Parts: sequence; C-alpha cells; structure tokens
Amino acid sequence: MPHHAHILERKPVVDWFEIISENFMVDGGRPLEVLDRILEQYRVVQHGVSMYFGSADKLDRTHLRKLKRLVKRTRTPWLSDHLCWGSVDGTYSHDLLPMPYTRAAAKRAAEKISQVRDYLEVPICVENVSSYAEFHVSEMTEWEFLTEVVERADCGILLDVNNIYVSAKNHDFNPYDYLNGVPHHRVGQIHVAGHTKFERYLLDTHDHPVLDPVWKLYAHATRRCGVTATLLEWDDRIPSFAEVHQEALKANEFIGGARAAQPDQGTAPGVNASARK
Amino acid sequence: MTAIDSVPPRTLRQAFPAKPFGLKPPPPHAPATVRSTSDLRRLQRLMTHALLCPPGPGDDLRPMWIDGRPLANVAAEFIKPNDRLTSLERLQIYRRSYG
Repeated sequence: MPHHAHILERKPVVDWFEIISENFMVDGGRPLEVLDRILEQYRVVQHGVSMYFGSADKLDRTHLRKLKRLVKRTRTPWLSDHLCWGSVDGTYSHDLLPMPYTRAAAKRAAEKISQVRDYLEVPICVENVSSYAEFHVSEMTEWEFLTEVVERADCGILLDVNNIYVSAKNHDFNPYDYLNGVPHHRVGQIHVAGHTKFERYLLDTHDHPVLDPVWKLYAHATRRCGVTATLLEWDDRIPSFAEVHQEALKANEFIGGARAAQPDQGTAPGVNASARK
Repeated sequence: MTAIDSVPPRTLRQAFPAKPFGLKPPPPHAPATVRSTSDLRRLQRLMTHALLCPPGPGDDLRPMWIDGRPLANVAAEFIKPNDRLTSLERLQIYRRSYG
C-alpha cells in the first residue's frame, strides 16, 4: 500500500479501495493497523489472488478461516477472486493459470465458488484472467465457460476488460464477442489496467496507464452492463497517488452511454490500494 | 534476442518453489479430454511439472521431459499454438513472466 500515508493524511475523495486479501491475512502488525485506519474512512472491497476456484484440489480450509476473519474485519460488500488455477497436490505456482474450457471444469469451479460463498457468507464475483495459453481439450470459448461457471454457481462476475483485450490479442478472438456473450446482469465489478505490448503477444503488467483500446472496450462494457463499480489496477512502477487517481477518474469519460440509460446513477471508480509484491 | 527472450523476469509474484513438495508424478501424456475432476487434475499436474521441475538454466524451462522427449513435444500435446507462438513459447511466458 505505497500511498497509505497520502490517503490517511489528505483524505482524497475516492469511492472505495480494493485490497489484495492475502496481504492482510495476518495476525497483526502494521498492515492491519493501516487497514483499520483506512476502514474508518473508506469502503474497502476484498480481492483475492490464491483461492484457485479452478484447481482440481479441494479448497484450503486454513486459508478460508483466515479469509473469513478478514471479511468480518472489512465488512466487504462482495469478495472477488480469479477463475483460474494455480495449485495441484498442494503445490502452489503462485500464478493465475488458465482453465481448460470444459463442462467438467466449469462444474468443479462452480462447486468450489458455492462452497466459498456459503462459508464466508458474502457474495462472490469471479474474475476472468489474462491468458497466454489455451488447451486442446477445451470444448467452448472462454466467455461460454465463464457463463457456464457463474450460472451454475449463481455468482457475480468481476469483468476485467484489460484481461479480455490481452487474451483476445493472444488468442485471436474478437473482444467484443466476449463482452456481448457474458450475462451482463451478473457483472458486479469491472477492472481496468495497463498492459505491455511485445512483438508477438501482450502481457498483463499493470504498470502503466490504460490503453485506448481497453477504454473503448470499457465503454462498450458499461453500455451492456450499466454503470458498474470500476477499479483501476496499478501494481508495479506505481506513480504518485494523484496520477493513479486521475487515471481511475478517466473511467467517467467513457460511461456516457450507460449513464444516459441510468441517469440517476453515478459512477464509482476506485483505486487498487495494494501493490501485489 | 527474440520476443520471448525479452520478457522481463517475473517481478510481481513469488518465484516458483525450488522443490514442489507433494506434487505427484505427471501423467505420461496429456489427457485427451477433461470430463471429470480426475482428468482436470491430470492436466494440471502435467502443466505444473512442465513449469516447475526441474528448471533449466536461468529462468528457462528444461529442454527435455522426464521420459527424454523434447519438452516442445509435450507442450504441443496440451497447449494450442498459433501462427505467432508455439506451444512451448506459450508455456515459457508463464515460466518467465507475470500472468
């Protein structure tokens, strides 16, 4: 949380912050002290990086117990994590690895999402990841798989439009087909972020401003989903708080279509308050 | 230097564990389908082995699989290539960079 001192001293007008749950699943110390002071003044939404809904392994009960303690502390209105896997046989890769898009994998992921929601007693949103590999065994598109999972689990979607763009370029699909293909009424949150272009692929790096094609996708997403809580992720080479905040507020420039359809609603751009190191 | 070579070392997450404790042996070949949790586990075990153990020089994947086949052949069994990236290069992105 590189800007916590600025936030606590200057009290900038920000609708909400997102924290990486794992950074605060500790027994005490400085991270929790800072979090408690932030919670006195701001809404905080928890975002996780290690639930691994898509792993064949069973859920980690110790992890869940710690997570529930944090959920009670933050009173997060919903909790999100990724639709991916990253562990097998209890060995963790600490990565967000892509799913095979099959019905059996969707069923397994949905079962685990339901178990987590029932245990934590908080709504769950699952996030689409950026990916660099697809499997021969896949039976459907990624957006069909995401739909299968969230309909089975009856949960929400954290729609990461930057991840859609990155994966679309890496796997040669139309990102607008993806946006049009998901159940829009289930989208509870949107992520935007920057990525890095390499010669033959894009990498999801979260280390600079959002690129124009991603903002255009974002505008389309809000037209389909309505004005939606939106979070800018900036996790590396983080500039000043003012610069990060300004980039988050750019979201307001792209929601004209959605706002016209829902004139009584504002927007809710947030800022990721946690570096993922 | 190729595009893959130019990927910066991973900085946004922990390095892979040096010794993947508890990881069971990989299947001899990639599953042809994933129609059960057992199939899913086999696929995930295969990919984890390919990524984690044992590493090649530097931050690279090892060149050969456990049974002596080129790792490129094993990667091609389960990862789709396209006209820009081979299956092995796609695996290498996960090995070397934040995903």
